[in-house]
This record gives sequence, C-alpha cells and structure tokens, in this order.
Amino acid sequence: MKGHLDADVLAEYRAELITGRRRRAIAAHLLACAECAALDARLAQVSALLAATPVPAVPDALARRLETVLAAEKPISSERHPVPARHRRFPSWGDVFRVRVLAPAAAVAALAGGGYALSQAGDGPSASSGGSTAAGGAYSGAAASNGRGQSAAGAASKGAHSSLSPNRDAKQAGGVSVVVSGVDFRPATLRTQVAGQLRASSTLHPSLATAREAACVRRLSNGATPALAETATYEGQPATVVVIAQPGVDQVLVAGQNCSATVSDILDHAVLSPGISTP
Amino acid sequence: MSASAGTPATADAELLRRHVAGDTEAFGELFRRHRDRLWAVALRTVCDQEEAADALQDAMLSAFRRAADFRGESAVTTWLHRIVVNACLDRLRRRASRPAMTGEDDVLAALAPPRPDGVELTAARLDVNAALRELPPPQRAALVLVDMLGYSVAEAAEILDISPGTVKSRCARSRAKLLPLVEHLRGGPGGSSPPAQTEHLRGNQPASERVSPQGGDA
Repeated sequence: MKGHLDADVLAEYRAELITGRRRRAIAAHLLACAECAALDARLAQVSALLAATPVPAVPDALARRLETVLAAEKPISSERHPVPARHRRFPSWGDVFRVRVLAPAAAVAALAGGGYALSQAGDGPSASSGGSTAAGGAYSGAAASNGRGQSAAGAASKGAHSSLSPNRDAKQAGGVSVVVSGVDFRPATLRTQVAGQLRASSTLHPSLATAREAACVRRLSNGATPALAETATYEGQPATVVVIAQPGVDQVLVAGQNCSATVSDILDHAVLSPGISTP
Repeated sequence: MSASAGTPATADAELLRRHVAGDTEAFGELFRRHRDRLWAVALRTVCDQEEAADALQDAMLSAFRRAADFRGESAVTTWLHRIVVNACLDRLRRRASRPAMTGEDDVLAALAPPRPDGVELTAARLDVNAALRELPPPQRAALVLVDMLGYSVAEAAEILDISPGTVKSRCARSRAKLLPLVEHLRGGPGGSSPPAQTEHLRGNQPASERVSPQGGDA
C-alpha cells in the first residue's frame, strides 16, 4: 500500500465496511506505519469519548410538562378521530364554533396560571374597550367585533361547560382560563397594547381556552406561569399573545394560528420593561 | 397510581395494549419507564435542549395516538425510539427549511429562565455538542445510538429503519468527521493523554447536563 490512509478509509475499516484483500492490506499498513496507526488510535478515541459522555436524565420540568400533555390526551378510546397535533392545521369544529366563527375578528383570552383565574369583573364589550383604551394603541377592525367576541366566547364557555364557572373550569384544565375581548395587536404598538392589557387584566372576562389555545399557551410559556395569555389578532390575523414575567423584564410572544402543543409559529416578540408593565 | 399501571414486571407490550384498551395510566407508566433513554436520544440527536424537549413531546403524543398501530414486529422500546428519532429528524428538517428570520429559537431561548450555571457550560460539553451539531442529522442519529447510547448496529438499524451497512457507514463517516474534536481535546496531536481528557469530560458534564430546559422553577 502506497501513501497514508485517510480518516474516512480508516473509519470504514474500523466499522468493518472494508473486507477481503483491501482489508488485509490496510491491516498490514497499520502495522508498518506509525502515522496511520496513530490516526487509527484517534479514531478509536472518538467512539470512546462519545461513550464516556454522560447521558442526562429527563429534566424534572420537562417530565412534568410531558405528563401534563399526555394527561390532557386521555383517554385514547374516547378520541374518535385521532389526528397528530402537527397535522391539525385548524382547530376542531368545536373550537371553531367557540371562537373562530362566532368571534371572527378577535377574541382575547387571558390566562392566570397556578390555579387562580382572573376574576370575572368584565361586562361584555366594556371590559375589552376598557383594556383597549388603557392600551392606547391601534385597534383597527376590533371595535365592531368586540361585542360579538365577548358574547360568543361567553356563550361557548357556557355551552361547553354549562355546570361550571369559568374559574372552576380553569382550575380543572390546569390553570388555563380565557378572557374574551377584541384587540388587534400591531407591531409598532405591541408593547403599549400589551401593557394596557396587563393593566386591564383584572377587568377582562374569563372563559375557557380551547384545547389548542391552552396547548399553545403552555408551549409558549414553557412551563412557567404566564402573566397574560390572549387569543387575539395580530395585524388582522388570528394570534395568541403570551406574556411571561421574568425578573426585571416581561417577555411578550405573539404566535400565529398554527401555534399548538408542538409548533410555536412565532410572529413577533417584545420585551416589556417593568416601568411599562407595572406602572 | 392505579393498580392498572402495573408492576415493573409488566411487559411494555402489555402496557401498550392496556393503553389502547383505554387504560388511562398505562401510557404514562410506559413513558416513565423509558423517558430517560428517549430523552437522551432526542437531546443528542437534536443537540438543543428546547428542540429536544419539543421533539420528545411530539414523539410521545404521536406514540400515544398511534399506539393502536403497533403490531409487535419490534420491541416496544424500538418502536418508541423510532418515533423519537423520526420526530427529531422531522424537527431538524423543518428547522432547516424554515426562514431564518423568525428568530423563534432566540425568542424561546430568551424565555427560559437563566440556567443556574449561567453560561459556564464546560468546554468539553460544548465541544461534543458543537461537534455533533456539525454532522448531518441522519449521520448524527446513527452515531448517537451506537457510540453514545451503546446500541448495537443491528438495534440502531431497526430503530432507524435502515440497513446495518448504512448504520456502519454513517457511523464511520461521523467518526472521521469528529476527529478534530479528539485532537482539540488532546490539545492537538501529541497533546495531553486521552484518559485524562476522558476524565475531564466525565467529571464536568453531569452538572451542566442536569440543567433542565426550564432551568428549574426558581
């Protein structure tokens, strides 16, 4: 054998992909050539290094998240038409009737995690317009649909869970409650609008998030408790807005209508300084 | 935990059968039984905690819903591993085809609370992760299963649904590509001894690896 062996050939040799005469020639060369023998030793060391790399256990937070997600799937036998979440381009018909059709322009859902839902202080359109006014941003196209959005989601909540209050539903659904109003978030005014919603959150009208919305919110908040989660519109398109309070800063995420348990579909994000979010 | 969750002696296939029959505890038990292994596969294949967490979630939901499709041609663990690897590769493909403008990864990364160890990840871990990331995902998946997680070529072939020869080939190419990693850790050819470097890895990785994607609840 003339010249030195390259790493690819040696790796194939080591993996027993090279056989017969060629294999014997390489074996003979390795005995005679210190340089190639050293390369061969380093290749062996690659595998040894990888084998020595510890395998981490599932982080606790992830384990909890997955248990929650799987628990939300139960029971398998009741799901008549199981479709993987990533193939669900649109919400189920039940979801459609709750939010998409009855509240076409905008529905704003607010979520207070950890079991305490927002108080149901809002009263139809006035709640959302209060929020809108406080935000002081652009709400084009939202005003006309506020009332419909409010009543639609309210009715839907009642229809789906007639015997339970939204707050109680929220607790049962793992802390997810929904507030309905109508805000069209805009890139230029996102921070101001979100700050307004945060200030007005105690007056917003809670009901239940759809399964997809809840999954989306859980995904975006990544196990944390969001300060606010809204199903609204962003530049006229259905969107989910989630605010996560972190030390010294609030993170705002805007996700599109494909946001689900498995897809984030981020449309925009912003950071709120505490001065804005807690005036 | 209900009695239906079964004892450790309960076979995986039996748990899956119970799940399909409507036992609400069975799949959770199956997941708990194998989650660490599946997480390791996802984390090493995706090379990103957030993406790996999402991939594992995709995979578990998929397995949950497709459990009735399991025909028992392979072990349940093999089936679960295959779903996880496919979810990882799907996710990596989607990420590769996604326009870079979304900034979604940055956003989600920014959302995670600060890690207890800050950015003080060990050089060794970064090296291994960075090196793995350089590999094409299908090659990486094969290498991870065989060299990192200790599966036989035959097992990896079954999980990846490719021939054993292809597994060997992918592993061989991967190892050749990872040579610079070893040379770097050795301080270049003729550097410090390999065992010392291996100990370095072994000693430093667990602390950083135990960090959860969410960095705990603090």
